[in-house]
Amino acid sequence: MKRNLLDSVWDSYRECSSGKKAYRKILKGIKQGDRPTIVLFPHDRSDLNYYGLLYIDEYLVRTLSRNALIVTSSEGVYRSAELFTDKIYGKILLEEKEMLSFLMLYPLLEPGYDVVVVSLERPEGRNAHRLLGAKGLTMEQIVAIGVFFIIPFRRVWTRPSYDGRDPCVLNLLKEGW
Amino acid sequence: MIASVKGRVFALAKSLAVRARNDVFLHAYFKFKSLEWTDLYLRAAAGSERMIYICPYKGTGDVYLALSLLCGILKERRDETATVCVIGAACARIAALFGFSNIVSFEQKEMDDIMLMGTVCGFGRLNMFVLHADPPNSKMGISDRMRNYNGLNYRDMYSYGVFGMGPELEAVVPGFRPFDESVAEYFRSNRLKPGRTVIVAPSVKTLGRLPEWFWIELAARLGQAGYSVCTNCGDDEDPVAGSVRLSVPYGMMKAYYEYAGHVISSRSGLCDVFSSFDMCKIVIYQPNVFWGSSGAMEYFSLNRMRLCDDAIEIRYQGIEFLELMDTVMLSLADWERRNQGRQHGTYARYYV
Repeated sequence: MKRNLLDSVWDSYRECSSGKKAYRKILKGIKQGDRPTIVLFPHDRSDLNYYGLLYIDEYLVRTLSRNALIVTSSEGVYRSAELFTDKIYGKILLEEKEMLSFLMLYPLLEPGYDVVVVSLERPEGRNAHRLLGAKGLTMEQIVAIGVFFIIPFRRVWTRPSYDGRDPCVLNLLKEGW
Repeated sequence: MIASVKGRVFALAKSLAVRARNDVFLHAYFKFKSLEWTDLYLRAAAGSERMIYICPYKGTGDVYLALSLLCGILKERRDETATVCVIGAACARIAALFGFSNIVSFEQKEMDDIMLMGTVCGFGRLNMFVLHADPPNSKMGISDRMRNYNGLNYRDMYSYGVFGMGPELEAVVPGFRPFDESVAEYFRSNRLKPGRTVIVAPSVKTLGRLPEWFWIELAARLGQAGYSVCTNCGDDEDPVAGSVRLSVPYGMMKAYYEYAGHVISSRSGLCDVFSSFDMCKIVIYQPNVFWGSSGAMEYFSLNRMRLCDDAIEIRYQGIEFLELMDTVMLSLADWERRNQGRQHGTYARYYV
């Protein structure tokens, strides 16, 4: 039992150690004195990412923030973020492993920035995926209300327009069709 | 003082661990935490390899509801030797009420550390299951923000949000101890009338408290209407002026309450415990507090949560406490009229 715990602790240590590298990468993307909202997209799940991008503008309005730094391991998010909002401070593409390591470090962080994690089950301890479909709760509601805490909630009806052929972008945008 | 200094040193170490370019501080932080966590983990596991169920929030209602639904699951899986970790002695008594024998009680600070340990190391890896959709001490959750949306109530937050199940998950009523002569003796010695006693329960933890004068005046009006009155009191609480102190273990609550016949309570965790009792249950909800998109009554209603279907639930307006008192008295009279001649309560046959 004790062995199990110690193994877990030192595995977490190694993950956190790698997570620090990703953290520094993120911090490098922020100029001194700027305070963008950091929005993390750790998954490559199109419905989750679509609504995550769709509600960034509303979130920035509600939190009186100027712009958002998009940190993602999804090509689709990286390539289509500008279609959803023009308040993008910057974009950082991390490898999936880097992103997961950073999320292991996340509980220990007090970053001094507003951080939003567009996920239903990460960081560890978040279990909002269990509510998906409960009494008809939709992914859009869980992302807008749960992830971004947009209360009172009103649906965003505008949809991004795109006439390109990038399959990553098209895959993400199909959620709004 | 020492705890405060220790807390600050830890915060500084954590900050250095994350910010420093090399991993010396991070290594030291994990080294130190591993010592602390080993002790907590071994205590939480209580020598068993079985699943450790964690109740991370110190609320009577939260622990009651979580364990009530957990028992619904464990009954099917036949695993009643699981370990349950709670905060404080009161929550441990709730766990005991449900028949758990491996109960470990922690202090709030220790529970916060257990949650951090699980968040960092992974709850699944440590064989831990958290009995809360959104533990306040984990700071990672987002489920609580969905309160009241699409009619999601307090029970749903457990059945869906914790157990990933729906309305099919049964809430098990714990095994309350049967009536015995000591109950009748208590009523006799305190001149309380069986079946004509109102238990008032003003104490609340989460929702707002009604002014003390409300309860004093209500007790007086109940007395004028022919009821005897007692107050449900915690260890360090005083009864409402003009009423008798009632402080009984959870296991004996059903016997005392049903023998009394009536309860008038502010919405608190106690209401979850007495929800299954066969008696007049009047529950008062505070107005103008919002849980997600709607009020406390929409979220915590005993009837909506299907813990019972016979609670009389009242939400007052603003500071209209006098109107509330009238409504409570009218509701009580109405309940008496509807139940006239009916032998309510399992223990009605013992009435003198």
